[in-house]
Order: sequence, then structure tokens, then C-alpha cells
Amino acid sequence: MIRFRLMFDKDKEVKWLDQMATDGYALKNFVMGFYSFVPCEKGEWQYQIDIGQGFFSVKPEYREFMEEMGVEIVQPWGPWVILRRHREEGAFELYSDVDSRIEHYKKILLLFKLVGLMELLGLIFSVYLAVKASEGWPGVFMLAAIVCVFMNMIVRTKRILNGLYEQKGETPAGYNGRRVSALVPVGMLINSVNLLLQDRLPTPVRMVMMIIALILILYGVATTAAGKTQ
Amino acid sequence: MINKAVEKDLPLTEAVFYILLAVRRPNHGYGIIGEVEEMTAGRVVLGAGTLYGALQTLEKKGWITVVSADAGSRKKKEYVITETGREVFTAERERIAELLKNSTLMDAPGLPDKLEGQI
Repeated sequence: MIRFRLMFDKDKEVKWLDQMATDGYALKNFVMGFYSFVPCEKGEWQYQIDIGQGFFSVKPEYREFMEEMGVEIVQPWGPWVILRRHREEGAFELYSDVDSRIEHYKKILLLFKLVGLMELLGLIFSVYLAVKASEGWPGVFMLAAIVCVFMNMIVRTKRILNGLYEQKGETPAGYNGRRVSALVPVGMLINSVNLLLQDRLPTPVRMVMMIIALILILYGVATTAAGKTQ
Repeated sequence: MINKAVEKDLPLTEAVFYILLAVRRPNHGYGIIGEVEEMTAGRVVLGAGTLYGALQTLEKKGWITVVSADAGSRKKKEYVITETGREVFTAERERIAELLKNSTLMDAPGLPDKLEGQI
């Protein structure tokens, strides 16, 4: 069974993979958003996602170490490593204390910052190209949507880190970052699709889509500004 | 008197403290987790990621070293504390002893008179 999902939040991803395993489907393979599952005994596996030291690979000593712990490396993907362990071996938690959790989320934050920065530069460049050639706007909206998603992930990760620092007894510098409402990237994607299908869709349909996209973006910006998205 | 050179490394985190204790004699990853769990009656169960990270850091700092025990085809990495590691551990132990000694002040009767009314 193959499922397609774009997941940026590894905590949600782990939850979903665990739920799938509870339902009797074990993740066997992952390629660019395509998750392929094979049947397993219900609740046989527990999943975790680590951020490794390699890129699309893990160090041999990491693999050896994890194997000794009864942990199977399902697949490295980019800087991420998908791991699993039999549920019968007990609760599967990678990071058991505040200090190591802080280190873990610091790495994740750095990663999101780096990728987010690259996306942002790409967005600026694509706007420049689109203005110059007066085409290529679908790409601009798509990139803008991705930038929104990454900004949200940075905000989310910072919140987690702040919670951890607080737990440790350190008072973090006040952080009031806001997450962009999910409506904004959705509106941008609709707009992007709309522009892509310019010649194929009748004008009334396009007008309706355009209005929907605009309402979504505006409403999303408004709720974000009002601080309603947590 | 706590050794100045190792003072900057103190206090140790609970995880590091127990890992050092568990490698007082050669021990492998799974053994460390089990021993720490046993010592703390199940309170501290080290996660695989936490232990991996800590072992790498401790090795880099020279507090522990790997004694490769490749018996036959199945090699199992074992770790053991170094002289530096022992020094750090001793310093931490002295620090904790000081804490413990001072903590008995809490049992001592009698607050200064001027404070009594306020508490």
C-alpha cells in the first residue's frame, strides 16, 4: 500500500506512522512523500525519527549501535533517519532527558533555518525572473507557500525549544513568534494552480478560484495578524 | 577541594553521571542502559539517541574510551572510563557530597528570630 503525504513535522509524522502500525501497516520505504507500507501484526512496531550525521546515509557505528539496541533503521532520507523497534521491547523513546532533547531540536531548528533561507532566496530570485519575463508566477506562488510552511516549522521548533529550556529551569528570552495560518499557503497554491491552468479552464471557473484563493490568503493573513493561530 | 581543571565540566547531567558509573568496568550500550535502569529502580531509562550522543561526546572529551571486543564475527563495542573520566567523576562526587552536607542545615532547629514572624 502506498500513501502520499507531505510532512514537515517529524513529531506528527511519528504519530501517523505509529497509528498506521497500530492499524496493521508497517512503513517499509519512503521516497519523496511516498510512503509504502506492508502488512504487519497490529501494533508490532513503534517508529521514531532522528536527525543523523550523514546525508541519505548513516555512519556504520550509528547503525551498529542502533542494531544493538534492537532498533532497525528503516531508511535514511536527507538528514533524517526513520527508525523502528518492536513494541514488545518497551517504550521507544530516542531522547530521554531535557539536555539531549534540546540538542536534538537545536539541530532541527538549524536545518529548518538553512532550508528556509534557501527557499527564501529562491523565492526572491523567482519573483525577479517573473517580473522580468512577466511569466512564471505559478512558481512564485508555490515557493511562497513553501516559505510559509518553513517559517511555521521554525516557529514551532523554537516554541518546543523554549519549553525545554523552561523545563531545565532556564528562563528563555521571551519569544512571541507567530505561526502563519495554514490558509495562506493553501490560498497561494490554489492561485498557483489557477495560473498554471490559465488556458484550460473557462473564465468563470478561474474567477471563482481566484476569489477563493484571495479570500483564503486575506483571511489567513488577518488571523495571523490577530494572533489567533497557535 | 574541587579540581579547578575539571570544575568547568560540572555539574554533570544525570545521564552522564550514570553512564560514567556504568562504564567503571567495560560495558556495552545495551548493558549501560540496563545497569542504569537497575541502579535507579527504573527511574532513569536512557533513550538510544541520548546514550549514543552522550557516548560520542564523552569519547571526544577523553572521559571514556572504546575497548573493541570483537569476539569472533560478532563485534560488540565496549566502553570504559579513562583516568580523566575518573577525575571528573571524583570532582562531581565531592560537589554532591558538599550539597548533601549542606542540605542537613534544613533540619537544624531555630530560625533567626527576626525571620520567624515572616515565614
